Amino acid sequence: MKKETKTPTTTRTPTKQMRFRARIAVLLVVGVFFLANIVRLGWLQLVEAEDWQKRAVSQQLSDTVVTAKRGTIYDTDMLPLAESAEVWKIIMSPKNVAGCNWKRLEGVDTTKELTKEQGLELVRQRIAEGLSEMFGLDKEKLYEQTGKTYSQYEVIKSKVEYNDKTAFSEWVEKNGLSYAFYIITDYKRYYPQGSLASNVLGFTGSDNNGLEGLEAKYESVLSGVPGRIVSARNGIGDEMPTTMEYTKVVDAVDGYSLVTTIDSTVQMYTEKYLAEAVAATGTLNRGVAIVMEVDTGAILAMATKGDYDPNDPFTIADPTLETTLAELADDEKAEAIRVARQKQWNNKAITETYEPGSVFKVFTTAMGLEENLINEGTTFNCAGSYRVGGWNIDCHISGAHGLLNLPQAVSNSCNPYFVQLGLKVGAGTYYKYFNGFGFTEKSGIDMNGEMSNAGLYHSAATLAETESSLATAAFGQTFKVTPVQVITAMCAIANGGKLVTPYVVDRVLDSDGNVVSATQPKVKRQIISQDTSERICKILGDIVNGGGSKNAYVAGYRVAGKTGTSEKRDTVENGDDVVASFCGFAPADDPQVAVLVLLDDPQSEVRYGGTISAPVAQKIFESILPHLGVEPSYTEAELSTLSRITPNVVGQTVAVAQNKVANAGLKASIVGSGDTVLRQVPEAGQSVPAGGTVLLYTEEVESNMVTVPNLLGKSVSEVNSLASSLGLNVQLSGLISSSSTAAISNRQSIAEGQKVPRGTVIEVNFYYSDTADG
Amino acid sequence: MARAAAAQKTAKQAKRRLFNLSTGFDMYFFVLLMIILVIGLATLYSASHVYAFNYDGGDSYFYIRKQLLFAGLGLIAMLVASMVDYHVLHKFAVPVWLGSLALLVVAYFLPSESGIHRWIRIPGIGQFQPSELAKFALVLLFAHIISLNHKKMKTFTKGFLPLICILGITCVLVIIEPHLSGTMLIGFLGLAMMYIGGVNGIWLLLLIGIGAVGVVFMVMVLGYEQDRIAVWLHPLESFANEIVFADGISGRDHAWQTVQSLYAIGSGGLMGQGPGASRQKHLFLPEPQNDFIFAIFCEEMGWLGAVLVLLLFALLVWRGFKIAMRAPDKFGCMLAIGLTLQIGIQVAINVAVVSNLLPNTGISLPFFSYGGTSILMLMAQMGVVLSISRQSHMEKL
Repeated sequence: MKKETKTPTTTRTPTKQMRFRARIAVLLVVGVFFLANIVRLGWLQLVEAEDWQKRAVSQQLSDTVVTAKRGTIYDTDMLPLAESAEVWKIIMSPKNVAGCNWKRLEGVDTTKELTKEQGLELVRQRIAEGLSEMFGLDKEKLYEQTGKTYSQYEVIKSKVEYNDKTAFSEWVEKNGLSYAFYIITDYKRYYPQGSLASNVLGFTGSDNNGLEGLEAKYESVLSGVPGRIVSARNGIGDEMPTTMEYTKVVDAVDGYSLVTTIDSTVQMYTEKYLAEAVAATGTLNRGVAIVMEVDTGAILAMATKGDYDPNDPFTIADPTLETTLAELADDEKAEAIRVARQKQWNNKAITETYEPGSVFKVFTTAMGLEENLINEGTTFNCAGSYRVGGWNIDCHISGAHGLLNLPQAVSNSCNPYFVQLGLKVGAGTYYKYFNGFGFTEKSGIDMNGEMSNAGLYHSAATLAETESSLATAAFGQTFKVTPVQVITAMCAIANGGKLVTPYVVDRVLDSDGNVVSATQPKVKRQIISQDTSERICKILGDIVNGGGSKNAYVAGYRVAGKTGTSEKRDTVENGDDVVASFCGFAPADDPQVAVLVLLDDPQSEVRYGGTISAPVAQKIFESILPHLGVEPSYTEAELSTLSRITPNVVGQTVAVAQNKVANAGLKASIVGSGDTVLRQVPEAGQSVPAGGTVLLYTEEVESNMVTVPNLLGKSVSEVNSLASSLGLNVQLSGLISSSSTAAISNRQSIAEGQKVPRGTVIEVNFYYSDTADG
Repeated sequence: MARAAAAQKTAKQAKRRLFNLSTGFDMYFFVLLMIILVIGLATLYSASHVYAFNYDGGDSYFYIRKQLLFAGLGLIAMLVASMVDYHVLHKFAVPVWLGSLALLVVAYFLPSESGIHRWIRIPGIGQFQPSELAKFALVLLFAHIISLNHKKMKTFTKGFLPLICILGITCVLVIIEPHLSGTMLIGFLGLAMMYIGGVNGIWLLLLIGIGAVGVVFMVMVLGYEQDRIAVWLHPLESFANEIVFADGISGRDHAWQTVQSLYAIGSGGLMGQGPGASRQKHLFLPEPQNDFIFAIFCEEMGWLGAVLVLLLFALLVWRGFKIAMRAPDKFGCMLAIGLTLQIGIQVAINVAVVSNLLPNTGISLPFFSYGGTSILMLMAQMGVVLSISRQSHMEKL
């Protein structure tokens, strides 16, 4: 019975094969599939874990860069020349656009029933419209950007100014779009003085990195260190609430500021007069002017004309050039614009070389004196030309100078004299001083792009082998140097023989104004003795005060210097291109500042350095020396013509008034028959040349008006007689003595045809037309 | 003889009582199941609360509340099912299968969710996946047929053919939803049961061979599922948009889920970020409460945690296997092994997908992934296994 019940049971029970196969299946699932998964997870979590963690963390942490404020560039009186102001950057997170509610858009009909997609479409349209309207951006492109749902960082607009930022924020608020946008603080570079010192300052690119000039040279100092805000973010960019340990803030370190040696006033005058000269002479290849402190090498001004506006550096500043470029065919245009831009950015004072010409005779003189090969009395004969190594070297005058001593030779800039002096000095000594004055090395000025003149001058061997090379090099031709090398060497002449390293940055300040580092003036070496220095200063002072460089004369300041007009032997197209230059310093007896003026390829009729460059230096000296606090000291002759200040005599009796005017060194002329002075012309406190006339009105009569005549292109006596015939006072400038016959007036302070009261002072400037130089 | 027959009938009747509580069920299986369920529920809460807070009206408990409710109902269903003599299911085998097919057809004709007809919405309760039912229906029907028709299993016409037809019809209806992973799961499960049930191995191998060639042909020659394959083979390149996808959707979007899952798993390392400390659940990994929940678990509990869970599942499968082996009859054996393997295969495929060992197909992790009807049915099915265990010849705790 038991068997009977058991039999069917046994037939129903699972078979052996079933058990076996079930075992196989289970083993396959657990033993193979599960094991494979465990191995796979192990691979991800143990072997590759670090890589995956890194990737995960990079998306979980939002690393926001906090822009550092770029340092300011100041002039020597802490006037900002380049500064950064806060602007804003607008970022869109397309990923979050879908999170904006279309019902919050301004002016939509919220009663409408829209699907999610339709609502999103509305939001995207609104964003594209609003942004394109506000910032003038392409609507289609913006619309596409709103659809980049994988992105959380789309820069919509950089450098947004305060007003635009406020308008944007209001728009975002009104349309309920704050979820999709954020605003980052950024900085924009401004150059408050416009183009002033642009070639020194340089400019910055779109991401505030310095591209030229000091901005580029001191990039790492100015830029500062950007800060970071690292915080944990969830998948839609919001703060992750749980993992606070990740939030980390690294403050931005603002950039250091530069205090330069540039004096804005000096720079302004320098640029003004240089620009006038460049324009007046039609100088083709730009002009350079440098003002340098002779003892320290501090650059007070460094100008190149034409330059550009660093606020808008990519625009070609020269309007005629810009027009020319605009007319070019497209294929040539891009390259031409690139070249033109690079040219206007280049700081010609350090990036281009030229043949110094006669200015170099100063250094040849120094060689001769320092080596005791000559003295002031040493004479050489000028026969109009001198034959060296088969070449005839002409003097710049058509005749001959005859027998000249050293001061005469410098004053007349006599080439044969200096050829003979050069040959006497000899190649070895010449090269020693050439090297010593720094003409074989970069000046080491702390600016970007100083050009090396390596290979542009004669080696010691060439000088020794080729006599003609030495002969021409003695008067500054057949080799090239940079303007900054020349003025640095001239400073050595002026400062007692010390070659200094020129510099522009005086000190570096941190954002609190603490001095981080200060530049110590650096003397490279002593080249000539104090005595030689003083002797050359005297010679150079004399030639400005009556000799060949007299167009640089400034009353009260003994300017010293040498002019030069050098042939540009390397310009093939036009064989007689020249560089007209002047390099000098003042005062000659106690040199303070040196000035170099250089006009590259002037197109004016007269192109001598003495005629077109020295007057620029003159005006610069005249304007900056009082500003720099250099006390004038007048000679007897100068004192006699020095202007007087008119006393206040209004309300005085005629007798007292006459007495006062006479005491001031002026003449009184009474108009009317009253007892007391009612009015005076010129008014009190005006400067009038000694011996000038003050009109004292004792009756209420109309001022006697006169028409200002043309006073230009006239000699001193012509100007004087014309002015006195009309009852005008003239203040003469640029004259070494009032009896100079070769002087011709070239500027008058009140233009021809203006009506002025009698007695008005008109300033008239003169230049010497009888200057010429090799 | 009559006595014997009467005794036999009595014995039969005793066994065929609807509720059989004469012996206890297998405590090992039950306890393992409870441990897995608790871990699963805890993981669901951890994985879902951020997502729920952000996308379900600020209600952090949105998913766990529902899941707890259905797990509770499921527990009751399990206990009830464990008390019912499983033999009663013979009667349901065919109707349930036909019903599941009908529901699959209904789902297919219901409005789709972005082209997928996988769910039937029941207002107030939630959504129901007919393929979940189809899975169970297939196991039940196969167990039914194999146990009744066991002797003819070796034959082609009476053994192989009916089963493969049933499997084929089910798979076709599931694949048109389309539900690739569901099809894969049902297919593997069906093949495994056919194999265990005694179908000639040659035909099965042939079938697998044809299937493999078919898949290779479809992918390599016809170019099916190229996007999925590209993401599978080159997840990071797709994510970085280095691969262009034909459908115009960015590679980043295509690979997003897979890559975020890998980020999560990799971030876990050996020990994990700690319970609740997942960062990927902060809206990086999409729907972390669903198919990819195990990635969050791996991130929080590390490799050791993952191995522990897989070990628990392995033990559960092993215990289910034991129950099947000791089952009093072929029906119980096939039913228990089918239901157990269903769990095992689904876990294996899910983890393989989450770790990108297999392409992303959309398969949930039993007892972990969110899904009310799903967990209810799973628990009820485990109740059936427990019911079988009551009659199994094994020591009871």
